Amino acid sequence: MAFFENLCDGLKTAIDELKSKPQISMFVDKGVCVEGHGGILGLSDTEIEFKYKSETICVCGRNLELKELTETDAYITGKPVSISIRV
Amino acid sequence: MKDKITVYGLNLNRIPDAITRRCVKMYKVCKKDRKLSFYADSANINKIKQYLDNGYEYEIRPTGIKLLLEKIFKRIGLLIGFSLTFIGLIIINSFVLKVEITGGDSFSRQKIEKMLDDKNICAFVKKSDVDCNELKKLVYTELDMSTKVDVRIVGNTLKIRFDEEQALPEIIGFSNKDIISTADAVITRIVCINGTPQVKVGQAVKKGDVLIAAYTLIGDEQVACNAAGEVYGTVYNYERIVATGTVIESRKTGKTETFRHISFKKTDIEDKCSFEKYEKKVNFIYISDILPIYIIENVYCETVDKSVEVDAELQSKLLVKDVLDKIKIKMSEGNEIERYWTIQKKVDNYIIIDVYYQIEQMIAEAT
Repeated sequence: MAFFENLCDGLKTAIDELKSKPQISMFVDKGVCVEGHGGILGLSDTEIEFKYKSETICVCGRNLELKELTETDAYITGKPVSISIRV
Repeated sequence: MKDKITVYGLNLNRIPDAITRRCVKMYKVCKKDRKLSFYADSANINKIKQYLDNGYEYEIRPTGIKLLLEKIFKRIGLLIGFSLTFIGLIIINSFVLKVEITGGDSFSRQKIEKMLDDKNICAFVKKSDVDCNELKKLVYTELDMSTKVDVRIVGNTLKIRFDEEQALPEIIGFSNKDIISTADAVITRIVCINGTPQVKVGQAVKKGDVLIAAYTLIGDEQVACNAAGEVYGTVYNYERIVATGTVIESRKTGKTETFRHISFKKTDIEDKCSFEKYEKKVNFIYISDILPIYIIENVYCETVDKSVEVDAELQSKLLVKDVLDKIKIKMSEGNEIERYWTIQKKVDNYIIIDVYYQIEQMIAEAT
């Protein structure tokens, strides 16, 4: 079974609904992958903020660096500590 | 290829958002104080410039090969020097700079060097002009005994290596040859190393007589062996000379002709002299301290032959002395004329002189 199908099964939701929201993957001590963001709001080596509709996705950590950034995706390296969503 | 973009200003947070909206991928985005730096593909630089030109202070620097090329083109002298060195190396690489001959003895090596000179193969010859296989064949033919020849070009060196066949050791067997006399003589000394002497001191022997036989006696039995030793004897020889009352003398007439040439070498140059008989005198005059230039002065003195009456007795004495000197030169070292005598006969204007002489010499030898 594919990764998304597994997630849908676990979260009891439809795959289209899941894909329409931002997906954030965090790898401890390695970095964070943010897919489906709506743009970047703030940038520093301890905090990177992305916008999504009226919400703000905030990645906090140490030595954070945006390794790769496109219109919708971002790959962050460093030591992430927390991911929070502010409304 | 990627370029590094650095943007300076206060409100820099909106830049990544604005640039990514133009479908530009950003790499290594880093913000510190009032500076935002990131990398982007060179193909997208125009899009980034278009946005940043709206009031941002920025700097674009190429990276990787582009940066290297930019640095190189800034130093055109270095580029030209490098190019010339590269071309020089290519040119030099197409020449043989050294010829190395190894193996064999010095005589063989000299032979090969001479052969290479004849074929015009020396330093600074083109590699393409040297056919290693042909050269290998030539070395084979030049050195008959060479068994292993290796000719190849390594870098700029033409290497010729050959191993000569070692001569087989001579196996000494019994030749059973007697030592025989090479001249009519009276034996004076016998040095017998091997074999049995067949003659005694004072005995007269003829050419071809056996002096030392190739056997030795063990009891009464004759056992074959190699004859070795030296036998000396007194040998009598004679030389005949004829003395005349007149001699032809060459005398100068006083006429001279002089020819001068300029040359770089001290060489003998023949001129078209009008005299039938002449004496030639050559003078080399060195005219420059800087250049080795010589004036070669050839002076031709005309001579004529005249017959002159001389004392026959005196003439004969001189001739005998000459003959004895010539015999001494001919004789091997250590031998001396023990005795000599002359017999003279006068016939018309001539005196026939027979010079007899006695010497002790080696008349047979074998080792």
